[in-house]
Amino acid sequence: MRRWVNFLPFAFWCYLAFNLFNLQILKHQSYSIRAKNQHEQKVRLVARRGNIYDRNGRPLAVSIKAYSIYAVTKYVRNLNQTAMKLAQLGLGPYRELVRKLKTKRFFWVKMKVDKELATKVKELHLPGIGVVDDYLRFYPQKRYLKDLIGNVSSDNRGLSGLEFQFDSILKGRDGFAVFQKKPSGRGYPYPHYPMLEPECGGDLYLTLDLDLQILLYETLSRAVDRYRADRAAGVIIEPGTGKVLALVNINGDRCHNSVISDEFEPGSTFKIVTLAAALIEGHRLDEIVDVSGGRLKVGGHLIHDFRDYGRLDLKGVFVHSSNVGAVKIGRRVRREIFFQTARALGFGNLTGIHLPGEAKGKIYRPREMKRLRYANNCFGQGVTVTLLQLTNAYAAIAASGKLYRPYVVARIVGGETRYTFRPFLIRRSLTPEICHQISEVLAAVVEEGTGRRARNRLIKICGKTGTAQKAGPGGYLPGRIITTFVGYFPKQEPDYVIGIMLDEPKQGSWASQITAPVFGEIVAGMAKIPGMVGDSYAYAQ
Amino acid sequence: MRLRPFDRPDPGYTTIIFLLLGLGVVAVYSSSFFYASATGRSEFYYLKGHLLRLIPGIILFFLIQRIPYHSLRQLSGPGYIVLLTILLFTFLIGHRIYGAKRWLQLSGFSVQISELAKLWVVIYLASLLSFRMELFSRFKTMIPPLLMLFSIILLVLIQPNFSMAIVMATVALYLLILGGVKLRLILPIVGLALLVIGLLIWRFPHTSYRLSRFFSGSLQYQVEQSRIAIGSGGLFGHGIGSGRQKLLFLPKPFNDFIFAIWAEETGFIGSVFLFVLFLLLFLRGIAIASGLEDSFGFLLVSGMNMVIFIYFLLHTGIALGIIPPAGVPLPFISFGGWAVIANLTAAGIIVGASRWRVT
Repeated sequence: MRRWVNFLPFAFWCYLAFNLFNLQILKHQSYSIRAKNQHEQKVRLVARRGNIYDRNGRPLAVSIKAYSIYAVTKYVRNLNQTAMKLAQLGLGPYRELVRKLKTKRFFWVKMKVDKELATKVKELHLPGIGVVDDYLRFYPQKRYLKDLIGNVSSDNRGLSGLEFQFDSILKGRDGFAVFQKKPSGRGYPYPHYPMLEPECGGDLYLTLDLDLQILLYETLSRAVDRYRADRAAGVIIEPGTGKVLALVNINGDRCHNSVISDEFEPGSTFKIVTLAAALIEGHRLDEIVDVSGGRLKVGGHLIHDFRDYGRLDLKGVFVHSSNVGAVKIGRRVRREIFFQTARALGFGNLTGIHLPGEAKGKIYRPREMKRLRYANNCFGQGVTVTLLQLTNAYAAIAASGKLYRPYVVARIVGGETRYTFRPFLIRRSLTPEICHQISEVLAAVVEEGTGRRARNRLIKICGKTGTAQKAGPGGYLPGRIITTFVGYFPKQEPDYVIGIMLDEPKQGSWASQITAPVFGEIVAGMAKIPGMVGDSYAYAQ
Repeated sequence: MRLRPFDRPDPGYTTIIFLLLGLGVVAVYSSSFFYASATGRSEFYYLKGHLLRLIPGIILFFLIQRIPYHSLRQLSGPGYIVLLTILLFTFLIGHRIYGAKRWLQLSGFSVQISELAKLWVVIYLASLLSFRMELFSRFKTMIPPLLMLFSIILLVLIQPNFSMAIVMATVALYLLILGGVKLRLILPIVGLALLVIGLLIWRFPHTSYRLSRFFSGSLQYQVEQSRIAIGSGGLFGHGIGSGRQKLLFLPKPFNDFIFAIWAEETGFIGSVFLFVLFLLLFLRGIAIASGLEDSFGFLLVSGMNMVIFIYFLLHTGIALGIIPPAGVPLPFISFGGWAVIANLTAAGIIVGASRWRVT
């Protein structure tokens, strides 16, 4: 009897046991991954993106439930029939669908369709074609707000504007669900698999007032037509808090926020820096400045006024916006003080508004200011500002010297965060006395100076016009101007600061004829909105 | 003279058998409930079927213990005639299921006749090797009895039931070596047999296709799925009932790939438990065989023991991807028609023989 033969099956048993150990212990990791890959299908549960509202709770951007249809071509069985059925539902041209089904591994047949269409697609039960939940971003006031709110990508991520800046808050947190896959690739829910519920994004409540926004937009857009300007921009800020109440860009179809991103030479509106510096240096408003002749030669360049004003007092120089006068006052002021005043009012620095793409502007240090450049700077040429900076500087004067950081988002509600933004005081730039004196001058500008056409019968307005030559390569461009008007009202305890800008108007050549009346229109329009401008603003008081 | 047994039936062997049967019931249910409901049946469909086949099997297991194993010798001659008749009959007019003439319709009942053929091989060789050993001393005298054996294996092979023919041939070889036939006489026969098998593989396309796929390294889908099942089990497994490979990834998860499901759900611990149980069963069988004083008993028990163990080796070897895929059930565990009954019969013969031990 040969018992040894029993050793052979035992040896084979050992070999199998070793293989078992190899597979289950040594190679467990890699097989585990392979098993997971073929068993599980992780599906993203899209979180609802937070909405954006104006300060009265009116919706500006909302997420609407929608459905997206996709194709995983690996699992598509009858290619032509699938394409035909999808084409019949209006999901794209037949040929295009066939081409995509042939060449791509995965593609979106159509994104963000309504429930009715999604149900129809589901009922076809086409293998390889699936429907997932999605959200459509809808902007009810898109016309007025596209460049401030911005836009989102097809997967609902912020690309520009507030959508970009506050993306981390708005987007929420996506959840997921794991499905068991069949060998055919289709998934079905399996009870023990993990799942994470999506978390909705936080809602933004803006400082913006939709009524004001529409008013500003309509007025500026009419002005662009009337004066045949290239573009226009405007911003309304609440002095004493920095709340941005309206922010408008008329750019055609471009989605570009020129209020904060575009630098330009401000012209006469910048003269408040000269005025403030002169007052800081102790000059008085009734000081006499000789501007007779209306011309002044500086470093071989001729500076001239609108007309010959003869002799003006310091106030008159600003009321009539005399460039010669501004240069002459500038000569009585130390350049350091001029620079410091400009800096104190926020020029040459970011305002710090929570929006992407803010520009800094350019002002010069005392050392850099040669004679001609300084002379130019005194009446607002040679420096660059953004409309937001300029308006915010006026807001500081309106708020007795307190410069606030402008902001657009008032509150974040819902989601993981609940936060209220508070006014942020950057600095006390000027003393209240100087601000009061500047207000007097600015009031006189509207009463009797270049800003006369901005006047309002009922409300006392302070403001300043600005007509600047546009610089191009190799010097100033003849006939091309930027007109601005920045003003605030009512004079006592101002509630609104408005800055408007029209770029290259072809009709009219001075801000006094262009932006001043537009400003007047805006104020008149605001007076018609109930509750916007109170009775206490009455001119008589 | 009526023979009387000297000893009690071996309790260890019976215990292992029932442990395996118990595990089998759990495994069959766990691996079949999804498949059953996915194919539109009740989730207990295969469990019920399995239990229904277990009952006659267990009854047979106990009945066969009462029969003195010596009398089984008498089955070798009539068994041959019966098998030859039925196998020829099925070969000539059998009807096709699964592309194979493997089934014979017998009064509304499907009998897998080759399951009985494998038991016959053991009885036949055991009786020859113990009572007519002189035939195996010379090559010339060896031919006629081996031709009888070959005719049966050949008929099973061309059914075609490739895996069963391999089992039968291996068991036959095992018994020839164990029975003391000179190796120089066995080797030419093995060579001849391999030649015939090679020819037949070449003749039968579905077998050669399977083999070529296996050796070319591109494992078949099911083997790959089986390895994924076993590999993903890890040390502790996913827990009984929560395996995922049975969810339509593995074909016939309750039968040909039940070990893969078991390994996935119970992990290395459970798989080793099963491995050890089968090894203990095998060793216990050898011990029982060695306790018998006559050589027929020794060879009979050893052969039956080997029939069971080789099925285990083949089934796990296929699941682990070492052996080319073929439909081989795991004894006592797999859902299966006549395999359950045939295996329980073999086990019954072994336990019955244990009553006649001298030591």
